[in-house]
Amino acid sequence: MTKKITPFVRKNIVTLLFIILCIFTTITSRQSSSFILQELVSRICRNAVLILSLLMPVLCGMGLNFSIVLGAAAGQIALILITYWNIGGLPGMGLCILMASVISVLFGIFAGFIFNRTVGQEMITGMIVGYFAKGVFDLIFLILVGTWMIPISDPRLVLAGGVGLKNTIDLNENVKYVFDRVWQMSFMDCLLYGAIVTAVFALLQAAFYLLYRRQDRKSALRICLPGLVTAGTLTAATLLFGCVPALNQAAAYTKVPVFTLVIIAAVCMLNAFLCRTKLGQDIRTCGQNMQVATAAGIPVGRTRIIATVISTVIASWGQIIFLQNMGLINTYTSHEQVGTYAVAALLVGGASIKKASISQVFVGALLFHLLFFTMPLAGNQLFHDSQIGEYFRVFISYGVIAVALALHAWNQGTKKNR
Amino acid sequence: MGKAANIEDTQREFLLQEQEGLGMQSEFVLEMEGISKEYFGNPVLKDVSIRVRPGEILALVGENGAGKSTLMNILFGMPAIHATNGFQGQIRINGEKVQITSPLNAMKHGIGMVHQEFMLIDDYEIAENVKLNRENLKEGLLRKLFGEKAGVLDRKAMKKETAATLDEVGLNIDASTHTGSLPVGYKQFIEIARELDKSNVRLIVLDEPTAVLTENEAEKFLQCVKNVTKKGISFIFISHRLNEVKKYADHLAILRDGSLVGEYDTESVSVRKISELMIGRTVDISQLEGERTLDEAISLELKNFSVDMPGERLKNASVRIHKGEIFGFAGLAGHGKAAVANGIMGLYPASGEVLLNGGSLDVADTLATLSKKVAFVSEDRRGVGLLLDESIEVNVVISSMRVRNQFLRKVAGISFYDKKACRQYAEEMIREFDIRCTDASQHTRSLSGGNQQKVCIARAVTLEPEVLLVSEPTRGIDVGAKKRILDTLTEMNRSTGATIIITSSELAELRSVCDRIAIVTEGEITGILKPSDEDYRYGLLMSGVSEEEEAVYEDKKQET
Amino acid sequence: MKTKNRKPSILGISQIIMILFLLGLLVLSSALQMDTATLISDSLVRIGMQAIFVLAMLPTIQSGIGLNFGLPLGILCGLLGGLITVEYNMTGLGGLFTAILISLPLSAGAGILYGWVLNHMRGSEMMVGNYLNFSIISLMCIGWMILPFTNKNIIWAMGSGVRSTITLESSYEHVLDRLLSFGFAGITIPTGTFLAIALLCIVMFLFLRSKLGTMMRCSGENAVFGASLGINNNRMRILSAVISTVLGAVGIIIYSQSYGFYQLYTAPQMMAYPAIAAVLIGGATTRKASIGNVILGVVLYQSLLTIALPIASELLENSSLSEILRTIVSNGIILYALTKMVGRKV
Repeated sequence: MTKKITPFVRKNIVTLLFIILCIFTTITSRQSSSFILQELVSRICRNAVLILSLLMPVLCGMGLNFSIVLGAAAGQIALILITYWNIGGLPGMGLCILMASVISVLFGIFAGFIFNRTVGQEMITGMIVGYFAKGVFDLIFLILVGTWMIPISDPRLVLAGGVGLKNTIDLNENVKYVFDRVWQMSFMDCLLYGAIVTAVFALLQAAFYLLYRRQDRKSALRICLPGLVTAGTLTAATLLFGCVPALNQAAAYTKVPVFTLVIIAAVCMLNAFLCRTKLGQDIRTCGQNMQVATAAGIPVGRTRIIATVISTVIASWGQIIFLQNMGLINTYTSHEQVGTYAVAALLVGGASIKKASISQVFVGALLFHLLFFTMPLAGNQLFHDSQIGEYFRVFISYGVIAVALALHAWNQGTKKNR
Repeated sequence: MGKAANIEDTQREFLLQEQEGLGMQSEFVLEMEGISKEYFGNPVLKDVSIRVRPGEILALVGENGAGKSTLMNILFGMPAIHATNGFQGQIRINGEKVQITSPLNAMKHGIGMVHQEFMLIDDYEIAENVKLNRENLKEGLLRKLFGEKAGVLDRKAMKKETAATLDEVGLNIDASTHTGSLPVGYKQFIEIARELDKSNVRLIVLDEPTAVLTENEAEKFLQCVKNVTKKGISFIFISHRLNEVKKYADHLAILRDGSLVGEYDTESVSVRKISELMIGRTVDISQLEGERTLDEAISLELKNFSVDMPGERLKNASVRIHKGEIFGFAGLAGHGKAAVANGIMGLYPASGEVLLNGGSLDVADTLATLSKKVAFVSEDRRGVGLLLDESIEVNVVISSMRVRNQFLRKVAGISFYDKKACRQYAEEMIREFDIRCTDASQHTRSLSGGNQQKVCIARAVTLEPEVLLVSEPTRGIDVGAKKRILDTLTEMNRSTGATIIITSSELAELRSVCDRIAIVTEGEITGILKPSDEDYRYGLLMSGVSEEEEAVYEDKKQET
Repeated sequence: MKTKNRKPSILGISQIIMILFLLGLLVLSSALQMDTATLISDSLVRIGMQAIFVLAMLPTIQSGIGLNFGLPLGILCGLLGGLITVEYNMTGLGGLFTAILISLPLSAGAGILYGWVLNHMRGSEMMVGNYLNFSIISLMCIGWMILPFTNKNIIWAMGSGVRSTITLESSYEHVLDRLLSFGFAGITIPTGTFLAIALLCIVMFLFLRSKLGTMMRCSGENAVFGASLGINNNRMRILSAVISTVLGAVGIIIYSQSYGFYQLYTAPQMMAYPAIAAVLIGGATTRKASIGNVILGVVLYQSLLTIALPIASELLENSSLSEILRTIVSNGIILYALTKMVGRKV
């Protein structure tokens, strides 16, 4: 038995440590369960797409893409533009996403081009690209906006002096929370309907494979098993939240932005679909072994650029979802830490530099962000100083990245030494 | 009967005309004619012609540097060939003259390659590896809209087709097995299956396919190759194992120094004859100095010495080298001769015992080895032997500075680089070795190969070694410099009585300077010969055929 | 065959262009009737502040570790030493030297650990160094809050923890800058600081000239070559990490006396970047650097920014321009150097 457990623990040591840490801070923070649940749900919805954007470059063997900062900046530019033009609502957001995608394709090509010149050092390059981009972003929006080069003089956007965008820009009413408000549901209902929908889906799937495709029972069962397991888990959760009074209240009051969840699911499916295409296979091959890929005639450089572009585009969508949920843009800082936090969250979920999956995205988002908002509160309770908790969470996010990088490099080193 | 044959003939002719437009015979799947190639004025291939018939195995044998790989690089249109002014001669495939411009282009012409190092991805299923970059795709709307890349993989079809191909090569294994979990012997089969799976493949080049296999696996593998030829697919088989060649190839072509020295039906030629042709009478034995009587004392002794050097493994080598002897290590590239010197210098993990002047030597402690007056000139000049971005001066003095604390000036108890002494000594060495350079401050990167080698040897000489290990002293060096370097080594041997151990792929050269030569084949010392021994004995030892085995062959032949 | 002779020329074409540009800027500044003398004085001060950080890049580049993104580790040790002297109200040159003395063993120890970690991180030294630095900086943020300092100059008047900036007005502000300082045509020269820098440069020069330094350079340039001479490459790399970290510690103390404050918390986080950019501007690469590169780099980088930025601000009338341009320039240069790094390309 211990033989089975030890490798499991060793493999998931980061995640397990975070679970323990999360339990500890959640308890010591002494917050109501409804507060924690509400915060958690909104934070996961806000951040999931940004973390998802990291998957493709990992698959392509380029490591964690710190340059999603570029994508985030693209999303932000598009949002500033629609705020300036006073467009909003869902069609406005559609336009916003379209513009963000176009800009981030260009940014992605730029980053991918640089990565192709720094093979093996993509991560540090990505980071520096991020810093560099931040400089250029600041130059354009703080110095040039309002001058003859970019003549914008909207008082909602521009600083009192007439030059440079404000530090925080309030989104228009028809942009604020626009995805979140389309369809909201209580957490309880969400669990319940979720259980029903997945169960029905799994059963339909089983029926389809049994009757239409005429497969035997065993393989049909195997295909619908994930659906059934999800449905089972959701049912169990429903029962848990339904029966425990403290949780019951929290679940009833917590609002879940269903439409945002649908977008997240769509991005997940897009990602899963891409993995099954020829492009996905090429990306995987490049990630496994570049020499073999070249020998087989796969255009490695192009494939790596495409992977970067996909990542950047998804990051721009992620930033739009993030900001519409916040309701305002911190013009010069919103995108700054996107890379660090997304990477840290993914690593907390148990991903490594070589391997990452969709489930790790969500586990990571849950643990990292739970820790992220409970830590200052816990610090407040323990030391009567929220600042310590705040510093500690910064330490945690950098530390987890450092540890993951170090572990990876260490393994590489021992492999080489052999 | 005659009429039928006639019709067939005309049909064939018609087909041929269609292919060729000239009506030429295409009895051969591949013809390479009059191929010549020069690298920077050095001819490496001289008017070589080979032909391969459909369903035939042509063996290509020769020593390292005989031109086998250059010939294959030409066939595959490798960029290295085109970057160096291309080649002369022509290539015909099925009688049709073709220009092969790139490896991809070669693939399109139906030429496949099984690499020596596996081009397989361990984390993939067999089917994914076999279908690499030729994956089956499902039809679908997205594929129509966005092209091939958006097509979804049809894993079922991939597995089905792979299973069929695996069946063809006689490998009974599930196509969804993880490649990494397979034994090495199987991987070679998968490489072959990948080539066979390409619908248009006509000719597959096997570059030393059995080098990594055990005898048993090799047997199985070659049997599979033989089976595949029945489907009309031809092979070019590059191997140093002459008994394999003898057993499985239909024809063989022998290359030596860039020329074709023989082309035979395998049936009609003995292994002894092949080895003789491979080595060639390149040494005029009458020119040799004649045997020197060697000092009785042993300078260096290896006992069960094994070195774990990737790509050049050495197993259980035992040899005694006399004081003042010039001893050679010969053998093919990748067979472990290079590991001897590298192992003694502690650059790779080694086991076994090394005795220097009777005392044991800890090879892991490089500094101690160096202080015991053992010096080393590496075969990897640019990688290990030189500091390319440092001056000649630094390169020459650095070893003595490190080991013997020379060229240093003590100020307040701290040793400093003695610029004046270093410069003076370097200039002396430049004169003595005739190193062509602007001055001692020139960076070694910009020197020619020969001058770089002189710098390496000058550095080793500065250590005043009692045992000098020199690896590949003349690789990539022009003729004049070659002679000079060899003369320097012999001169040093004669004047200082230093023991010199030369590792070289150039057998002729070793035979001209060495007292004795050990042949290293497949990681083991297969024999120690004198320079005056017959050529074929060298050939046999390098081919892994022992002389007894050869005798058995000859007997059998006489019986039949 | 490449026959390009790569001699160590400190004055490459780009460096010459930059020097000309710098001279052009000086002419322009006087044409714009700006106070050229003050501009030059300011750049001298900035050069003095940054030079030691740039010098700290030298050993790690030479030993093969590459650019030292973990420089703030040394800076933290220096800050700790400095704070201790302020705690005990030490002033003047004595205080300054005590700070350096205290920080020496701390930074040497940190350097050994840092080097040991990096030895297991071949090929990822820069990334690991960087994140190691980030995480330790944030850990020390907590450290600053709970360290038991009691001096009123150090701790917040209310609440707990160390202030985010600690003034050196009453201890050793400008002690080195003012030492033997003299004015010349309106330009003030921080002689003491320059002397200290010169001393360190000479020591470094001598070290690189010593047997040990020569061996370190060889091992860094070609590790296999080093091994074939029996050099312990790992030990050389640790040695270089120690020297670099110690220089980081000394550097921040000299920086702070000139700046007038110790800056704590997240302030040191990005301090490696300008130093890296400077040494690269001076003509160094990620694998090769000399004292000449260091001196030229810090002079060019700091004076370009100090002189160009006020001029640009004059033209664009914006105060935040300088910080932004600093970010763009330094990261742009690092990015450029990374793409030029010897490595695989697709």
